[in-house]
Amino acid sequence: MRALLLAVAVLVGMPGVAQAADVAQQTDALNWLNKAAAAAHQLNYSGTYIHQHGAHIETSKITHIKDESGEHEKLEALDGTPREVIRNNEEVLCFKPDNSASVVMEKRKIEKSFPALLPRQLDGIAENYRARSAELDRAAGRDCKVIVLDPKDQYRYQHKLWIDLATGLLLKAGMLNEKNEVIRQFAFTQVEIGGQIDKESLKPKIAGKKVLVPSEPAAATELQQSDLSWAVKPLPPGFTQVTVLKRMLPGKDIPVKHLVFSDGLATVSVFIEPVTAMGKPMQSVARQGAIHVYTRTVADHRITVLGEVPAITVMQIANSVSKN
Amino acid sequence: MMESRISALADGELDHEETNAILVTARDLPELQQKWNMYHLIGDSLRQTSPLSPDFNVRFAGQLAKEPTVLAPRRFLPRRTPLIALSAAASVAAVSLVAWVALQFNHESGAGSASHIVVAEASTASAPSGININGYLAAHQEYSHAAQPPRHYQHASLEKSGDGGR
Repeated sequence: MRALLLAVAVLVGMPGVAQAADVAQQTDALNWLNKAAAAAHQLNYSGTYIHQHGAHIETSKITHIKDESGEHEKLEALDGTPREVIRNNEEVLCFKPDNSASVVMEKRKIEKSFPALLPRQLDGIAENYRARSAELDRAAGRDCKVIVLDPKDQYRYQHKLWIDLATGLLLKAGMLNEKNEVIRQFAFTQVEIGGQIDKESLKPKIAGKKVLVPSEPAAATELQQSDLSWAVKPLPPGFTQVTVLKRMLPGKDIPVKHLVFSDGLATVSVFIEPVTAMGKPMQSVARQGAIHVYTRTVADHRITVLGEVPAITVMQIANSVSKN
Repeated sequence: MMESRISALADGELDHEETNAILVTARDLPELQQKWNMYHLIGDSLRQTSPLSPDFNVRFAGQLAKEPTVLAPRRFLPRRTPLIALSAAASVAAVSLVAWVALQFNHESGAGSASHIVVAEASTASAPSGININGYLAAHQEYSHAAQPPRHYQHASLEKSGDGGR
């Protein structure tokens, strides 16, 4: 029926009907995204995935268990320094060897990691991207539905998501720039979905005396908008402010203001701090993998803007920063 | 063999004896003279100076014959690398200058579809003006997605535990 409608629309050239078909396609694609967003939290799975950004590739192992007590997860870096992240619901601990005798544990707040990349609220995505289905494909040996998110303007990148047909788990995700080059991707190379997973496998493997480093939230406090004394406007279309924090950053004596903006999928951070006597920054933009960084100075403050967005977006946001 | 010596001569690389030897040889070999002219033509175009007219040396030789001989000290020519290599070196210098301006990042252009913004690509997690962005990146990732337990947390935690375990 939908195909017939579409055919009629094309023949007669009725934009209304074509639009209806478009909306139906978008709704179907968004349903898949909803499914993927939920599956990453609700299923048991374990597998190995690669993360490629720029010229770098990292391999990680993930084990995720959902039971009556909630979500439990272990993320293990397979290359470089051994690192493990163990999550029990909201509590996240990072383990890494500090020296031969001890292991540093660190409480961290990490909200999203592959395959849980998608937000639970898809409103922003629906507003700023056109969602459509592409041809079926395979990833990690499994049949996938492929959803493409085309950006509606130049302020964000295109995303491609490979979603497991059988379970809805996100198996591969790619971010493409305006030249159609993949600038960042995650992909399971092997994954087991469903079934029972022994909770023993979530225990940290890194051995040694454990030292708990005070949790990050203590170093970051939410700020009232009225206490901010800075304004960031106008924002690029589709971006809204998520939060404002005052936080300590490693190697800095004074707290830094951290503003977070999102378009529903991409996140941009703005850091504001007084210019120190020693590094007067110049205005410049840099790229690291999929992340653009832009720095400029406003009223003796250094503004650092970074995010997984095109250069124009970080620049425009940085240029919109002004002191009240 | 002779070609490379002509090239070296054109670059002022040969010492007095070698120069004499090759000039004696070249005097009787018109093809070497032509090579000599060609090397200078190449050199001129590389340096983007306008080449002399083709019959310049003929006219010059004619005029020179009419001039009285003046004995003057030989002008010292600083030793140079061969011309082709020099131009290559020059472009390397230009590239490294660009890289230096971009603070040791490679250049990449065309990011941002609307405007041609030149973007420096950081291979390590440092940013404009050599600012270390690891701290920013780690903070950002709490709201963006963390791919892997980031390596730089190690550094961050070491510094934190260093100032008395805040």
